[in-house]
Amino acid sequence: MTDPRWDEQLLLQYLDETLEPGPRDRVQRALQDDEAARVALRDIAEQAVVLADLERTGESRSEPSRSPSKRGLPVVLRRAIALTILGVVGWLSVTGLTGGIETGPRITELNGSLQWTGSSGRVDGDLVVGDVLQGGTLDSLSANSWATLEFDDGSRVTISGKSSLAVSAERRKELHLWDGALSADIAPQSEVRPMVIHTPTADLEVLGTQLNVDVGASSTLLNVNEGRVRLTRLVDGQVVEVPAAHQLVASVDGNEPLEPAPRPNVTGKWASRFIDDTSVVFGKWLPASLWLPGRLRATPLPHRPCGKKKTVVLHLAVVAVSRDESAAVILRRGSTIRVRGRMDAIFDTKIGFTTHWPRGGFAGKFEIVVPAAEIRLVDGEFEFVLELADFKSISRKFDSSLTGMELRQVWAVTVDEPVGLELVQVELLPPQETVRSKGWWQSVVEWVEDWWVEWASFEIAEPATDRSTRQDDPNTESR
Amino acid sequence: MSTFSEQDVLRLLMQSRDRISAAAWLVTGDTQVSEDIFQNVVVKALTREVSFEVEGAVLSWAFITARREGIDWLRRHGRESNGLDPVVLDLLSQSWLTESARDGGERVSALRECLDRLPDESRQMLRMRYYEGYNCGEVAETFRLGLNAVYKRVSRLHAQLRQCVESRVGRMGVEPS
Repeated sequence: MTDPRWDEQLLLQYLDETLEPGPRDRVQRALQDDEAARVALRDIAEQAVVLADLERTGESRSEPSRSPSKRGLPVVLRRAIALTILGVVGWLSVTGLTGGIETGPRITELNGSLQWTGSSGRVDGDLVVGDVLQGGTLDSLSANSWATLEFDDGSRVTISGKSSLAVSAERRKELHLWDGALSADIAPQSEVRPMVIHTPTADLEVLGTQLNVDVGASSTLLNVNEGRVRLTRLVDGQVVEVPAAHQLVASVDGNEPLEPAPRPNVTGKWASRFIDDTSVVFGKWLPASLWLPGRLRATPLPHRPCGKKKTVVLHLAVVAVSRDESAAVILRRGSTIRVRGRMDAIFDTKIGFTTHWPRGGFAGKFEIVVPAAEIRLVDGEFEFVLELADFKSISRKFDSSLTGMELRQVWAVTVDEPVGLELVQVELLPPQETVRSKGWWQSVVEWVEDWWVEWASFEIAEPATDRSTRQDDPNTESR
Repeated sequence: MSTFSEQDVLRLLMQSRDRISAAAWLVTGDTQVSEDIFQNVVVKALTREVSFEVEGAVLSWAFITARREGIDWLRRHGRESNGLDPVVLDLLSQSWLTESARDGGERVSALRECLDRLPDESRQMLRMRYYEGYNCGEVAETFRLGLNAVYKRVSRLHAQLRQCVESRVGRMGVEPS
């Protein structure tokens, strides 16, 4: 039990360095020898930061700061200044320069395992469409999960796969993407108050645009499809504007050139390269050994399926296509996905992938279960060759043709069983030569369609997003 | 031995957020800087290459990193230290580390309730001192009080908050430290 009689006043004066040498030495000694003194100091520190946090997040009943001026101005003058500021703020609101009163973004779509941690530390894993998020962090916890948030002005932000996005409580248009993938359609913003997206390596100022962001361990990949984005690289403060149809990588290496490059050409063929961990989204990268090539080992991830009470453990490996490839990888009719890997025991294995619209944002996730009965292990190695047409959309909303979509991530997962799953290589293979088995007219049609996809896919407009899932229930709980 | 995933590390840091920020505040004396330091700690934890194998390792690393960041901040502002003995900072970090996340979380949760029950003027005084960053002399000037009177009132508020927290935590069945 602590000693409540310990003199907090001495501690406060000690912290402010206003004590005379004698009392200061006594406090110093007490802090070393007397646990009660240390507990009192610890409590002061905790009280200070928690109070500041309550003020910062506006969670408490307290009004905005009414503190008198630091310089001790007369009351009349202070009130005059306050009225002037109120007038200016009111005028700015009327003219739209502050964007008026804003609430937090609302969830308009979600799938899979998601978790909201409010700024008070309260964790909520039961999110539903319509929830309003104010001040906290939204985590998309598994490879097949995603969430779309919509702001009052119609701006939409989607995080997908294993991602972590902090939403500011004070500045509603300020987001922190700690990790993962984000796709955003941003409505035109005020030049004086643009939307800001922070990542560990860059700050992005967005005035109204469509962009995709992938955050890795040491770099941020920005793809701008429409509009312009101002990027500040944090390592050296260098600023660059990224125009439409360009991309840029901002890493922790300040010596790398920071120049936007035109969006790359498209390709219908791709193979992972596990020579390093550049393309690893989730899992443990294992370097090549004498007998084995570099590979990606699945690592455990607790996951509570939507609506279920029981938590399962996913053993998950996710590889990014976008970080690994200079060209956009496009799915074509008849493409196949080949997965080569290793496992210690045969078990049902899910293979899935994430897509984006050509020149656009998130376009859904697709997956297939390879049953244990169909898996053959040869010296611990397996190979799956999977037809694109056999993958099922995880959400009916995105149940459209995959032809022309951009491949962004591929994952493999086993549930509950740690079978030592490792990915050695993942490939997107172009369509097989099957023209001879079809009628000539069918072949011509498919050839024209493929040619069009190959050369014109980036001109396909993203379909208008179905916003019918939005729920404008005024009684929706604000989190 | 299995390693902590990024998600586990993030969850652990968020559970200990107030304690890590408090450790940074003891070095910097500035709550805004402490919050920035906590965010830097999170970013570093998620972008560093070394993995953590036990919970204690995450928090121990976080407290050390927060303190180092605080010292760096002091140096950037032309100060070598805040005068607090490193041994004392070590002992305080140890006491935070030995406390379970549950006990620490309940104490902080109780503290939030106690702060919310403070009378307006008391709350305003603490807000000026800790949120807006005025020193006690400036608070005294604003409230037209003597410096000693402000120290007395602020220290009394700290003591009342501590008693309030202890009584609430005691009711929750957790032995106060």
